[in-house]
Amino acid sequence: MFSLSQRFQVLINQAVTFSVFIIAFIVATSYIDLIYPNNVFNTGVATVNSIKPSLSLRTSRYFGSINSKPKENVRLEFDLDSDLTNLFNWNTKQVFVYLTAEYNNTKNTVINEVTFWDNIITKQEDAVLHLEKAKSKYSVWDISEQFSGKSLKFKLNWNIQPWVGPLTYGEIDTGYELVVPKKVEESSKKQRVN
Amino acid sequence: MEVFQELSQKLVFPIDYKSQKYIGKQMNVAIAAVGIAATVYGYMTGSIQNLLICYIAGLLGTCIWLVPAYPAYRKHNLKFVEKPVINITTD
Repeated sequence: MFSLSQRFQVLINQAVTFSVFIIAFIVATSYIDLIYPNNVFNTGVATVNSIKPSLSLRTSRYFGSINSKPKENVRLEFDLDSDLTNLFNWNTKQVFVYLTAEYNNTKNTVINEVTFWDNIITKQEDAVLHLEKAKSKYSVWDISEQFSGKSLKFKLNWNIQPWVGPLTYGEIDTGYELVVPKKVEESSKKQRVN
Repeated sequence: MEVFQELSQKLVFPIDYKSQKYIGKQMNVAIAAVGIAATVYGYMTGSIQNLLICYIAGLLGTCIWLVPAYPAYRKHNLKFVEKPVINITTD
């Protein structure tokens, strides 16, 4: 404490040390806010309705095709309702929401998970999701040639990205199941010939 | 280089153990107070940004209060023993 620079350094040191405690407090309060009074890990509600899958055969390698063999791609049209306002507290920077589907592989040994749609919510006011006839963002294919005949279980996943502290993940089971129909639409068959 | 040496000599404060100990204690207390106040304010307003602004403002205040060598922090300078004055009278 005998010189200006040393006194300044001590002050900065103390401030950084104390900020660790402040961060611990922020992380603790934001986590408590998530589990009490409403435990967001269990009480989330999401409904998915009237999912219309559309299959198409693609021969581009950007759509999973290998050596120009046609690959079945799935796109969806869906309705989604969910209220995610509980996920927002003073430590929430943004919430990443994504609609995924789970399905078993042909031997029922592996559970696959594919993402059809996602969104970033930055404000609490925008956290009530109400989508009608929304289109999936991504064209999805399986490692095998076919996607048809697979039974998809839909889930809405969320991921809280905080200002400080760890990422928090959670999922809401929508209870919606869908078997992808076997037929490939006529229009996409024509595309394949071309 | 001589300029830097002169400058660093000027930045060194006079030796005043009592005031330096006092500053050390005050610094702990001040930063804890600023931190708690900022946290409470940020929590009440529900904004991490407010917390950060409040904390940094408080730290700047503490800096202005405790870092420079004000006359109040130089009251107890070490006094070195003065050379005894010997009067020699010559006839």
